[in-house]
Amino acid sequence: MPACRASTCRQAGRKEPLYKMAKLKIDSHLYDRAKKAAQAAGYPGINEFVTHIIEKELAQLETTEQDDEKVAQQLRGLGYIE
Amino acid sequence: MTHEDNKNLNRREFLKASAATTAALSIGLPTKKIYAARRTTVRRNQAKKVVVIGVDGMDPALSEQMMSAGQLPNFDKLRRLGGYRHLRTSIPPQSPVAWANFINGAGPGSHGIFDFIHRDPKRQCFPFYSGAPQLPGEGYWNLSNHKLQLTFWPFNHKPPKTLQGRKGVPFWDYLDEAGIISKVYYIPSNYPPTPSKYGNHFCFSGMGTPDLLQTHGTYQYYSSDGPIPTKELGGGRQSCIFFEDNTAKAELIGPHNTFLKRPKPTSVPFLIHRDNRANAALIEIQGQKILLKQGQWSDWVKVDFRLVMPALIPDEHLAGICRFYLQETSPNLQLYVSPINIDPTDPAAQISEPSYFVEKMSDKLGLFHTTGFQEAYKARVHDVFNDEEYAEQAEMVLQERLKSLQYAQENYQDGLLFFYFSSTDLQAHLFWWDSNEKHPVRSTSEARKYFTHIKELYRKIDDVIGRILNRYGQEATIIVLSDHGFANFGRQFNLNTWLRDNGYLQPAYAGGVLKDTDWSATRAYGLGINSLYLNLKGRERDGIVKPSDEREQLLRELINKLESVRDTNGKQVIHKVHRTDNAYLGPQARFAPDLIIGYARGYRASWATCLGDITEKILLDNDSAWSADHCADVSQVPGVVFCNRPIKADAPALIDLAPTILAEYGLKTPSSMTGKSLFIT
Repeated sequence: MPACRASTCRQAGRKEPLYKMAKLKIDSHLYDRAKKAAQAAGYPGINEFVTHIIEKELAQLETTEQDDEKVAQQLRGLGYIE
Repeated sequence: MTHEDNKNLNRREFLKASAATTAALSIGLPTKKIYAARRTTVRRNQAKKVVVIGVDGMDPALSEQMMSAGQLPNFDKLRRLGGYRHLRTSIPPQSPVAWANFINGAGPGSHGIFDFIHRDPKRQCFPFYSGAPQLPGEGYWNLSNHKLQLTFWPFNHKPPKTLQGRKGVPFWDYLDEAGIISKVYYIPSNYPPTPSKYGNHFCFSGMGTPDLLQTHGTYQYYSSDGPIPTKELGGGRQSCIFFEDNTAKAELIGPHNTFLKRPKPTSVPFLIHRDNRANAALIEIQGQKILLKQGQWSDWVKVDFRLVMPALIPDEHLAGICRFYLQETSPNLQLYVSPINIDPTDPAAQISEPSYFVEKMSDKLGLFHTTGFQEAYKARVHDVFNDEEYAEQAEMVLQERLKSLQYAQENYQDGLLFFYFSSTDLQAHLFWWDSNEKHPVRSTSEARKYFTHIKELYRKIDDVIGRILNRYGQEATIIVLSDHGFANFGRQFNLNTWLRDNGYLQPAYAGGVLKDTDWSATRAYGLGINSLYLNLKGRERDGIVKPSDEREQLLRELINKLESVRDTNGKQVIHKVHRTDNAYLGPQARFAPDLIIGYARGYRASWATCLGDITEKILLDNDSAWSADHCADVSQVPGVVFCNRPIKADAPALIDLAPTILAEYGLKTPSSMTGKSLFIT
């Protein structure tokens, strides 16, 4: 699902965002670091940066889960494992 | 040595090999090497003949009993001519470990194969097949729904790769260097096959070679009363077919098209026309018509799997072969399709060294199994086959192997000939039962009947040895060996349940190592058949056990407790627990599990524990048709060695065979080996 960007919501003149948003609490020092990193990397804002990082990480984790099952299924093909 | 075997590739073969490379790369199969090593054309004197026959799982107790009863006259002759000994096996006595000991002339510390299953500590305990780990590809070019890997500059994308898991130097490399020809057929633990630097080594890979789906062999079973939806089992796929006017449409599932961004399996549609009155069915697949009566097997059938590419790029193709077995026509039509083997006439992956070696075999032999595990044990374990059907299929494997042996003999002039039989292992797993205790799935009389079948099989191998003795006895050193023996498998031990119940694995309600383990509180876990790992700080991603006194104390504690485990009848379950820092020597030892669990005869790791699953009970009855095993303690299941020359070593081991073979050619035992020649006291 595409991430809701605050700017897009404002442009649409809506009070409510297009998608329901959740809030996360992070350490303020980490927030400052992320803000600086987002600027340095050319992201429009910290929201885009954080969303991108989470999506990237999730994609990797989700693939890993699929890989795990695929590998386990292959190993079950050995007679020694059911 | 026929020079044809060593000929350089001609243009046709070069083009064929180039085309196959792209498709094979896409599914991670090792590609054929287009250029083979050129063997020196200098005239050479004929080398000595050494013939080594590997008989997987041949058991000393049964061999001795049958020799005494006069039922194995040729083995007995070999024993009297030269010698016979029990052969010390590997720690643990699993075939990939044991054959790697044979190949390297040294133990797991040298070759790095410790179990069928290894784990990646960087991903905490991600399991993988030890013999041929796979590396994912890196980088690709997006093109609509496809991702294409461009391996040339400036892209330099890296394709996925299947690696040879066995490290160190195989003995045939030393023969290769010395100009001695070695021809090795169906050797386990050598997929992908190692390259021959000087062109004197020829090898067809055995156990560990995958099918075209990159599994250890996945059958496909179609039945009009089959499961809905399709059931994917490890090693098998069962689905329901629907008939309309006595014709059903079905799909044969092939390898994944990994050129796609979201890889999907390829498939080939086929039709099944049934004729209930004739008890027969006609199968139509890719223009081929196969008429089968009930209970009949087809010959090998070629199947082409198309990997669809983006527009303007030609589609890729992978060649497979399979056999159909019409199990029943009515009331329910039941059709078994063997795992799709890599086509030896057009191999999609390198399954021999040089790559054309297997194609030369198929020029003479036609189509044959290329997958490492050929006996349909999964079909039997999943109750798709009954015992008779399994025995029939396994006999077909043996007959095919005997034709390959004939080919091997006709194409052997001098140097080393190694040939391997799997039947004695993969039939014994299902049919061995040498006691009157309750069998996991058979009545006592049935268990006895099928154990007789194993004895019959030993007699068939005895005939083979007789023919080899007659043919080469006067001129060759002949060695026959097994990698381990056999034992009943009546009770199973769940190592992870034991670890959890004894507080080493957390939480107390944990359901599996790969599922819900609390690594911040877990000190040890089991993965694989005989392996136990500590959750070691600095090694495992989430390790907590300090690699100092804490590790030492924990190892001692685990060994003491595990060796004290008793079954409900008081029997010792674990004969010995081996510390790998004592048992293994060599550069690979640091990657080993911390402990190897050596089970007593009659026991083995539970089915669940191998992939980390936890069951309610620690000790359970084995309820599988896979009723015999050898993944016990090294002392419990020795193998055998026979030779037509006197064996001087008192207690030879698998690691002694490689130095023995080298010594036959006057080559010193290299420093990479720890074994000694059998012919030295």
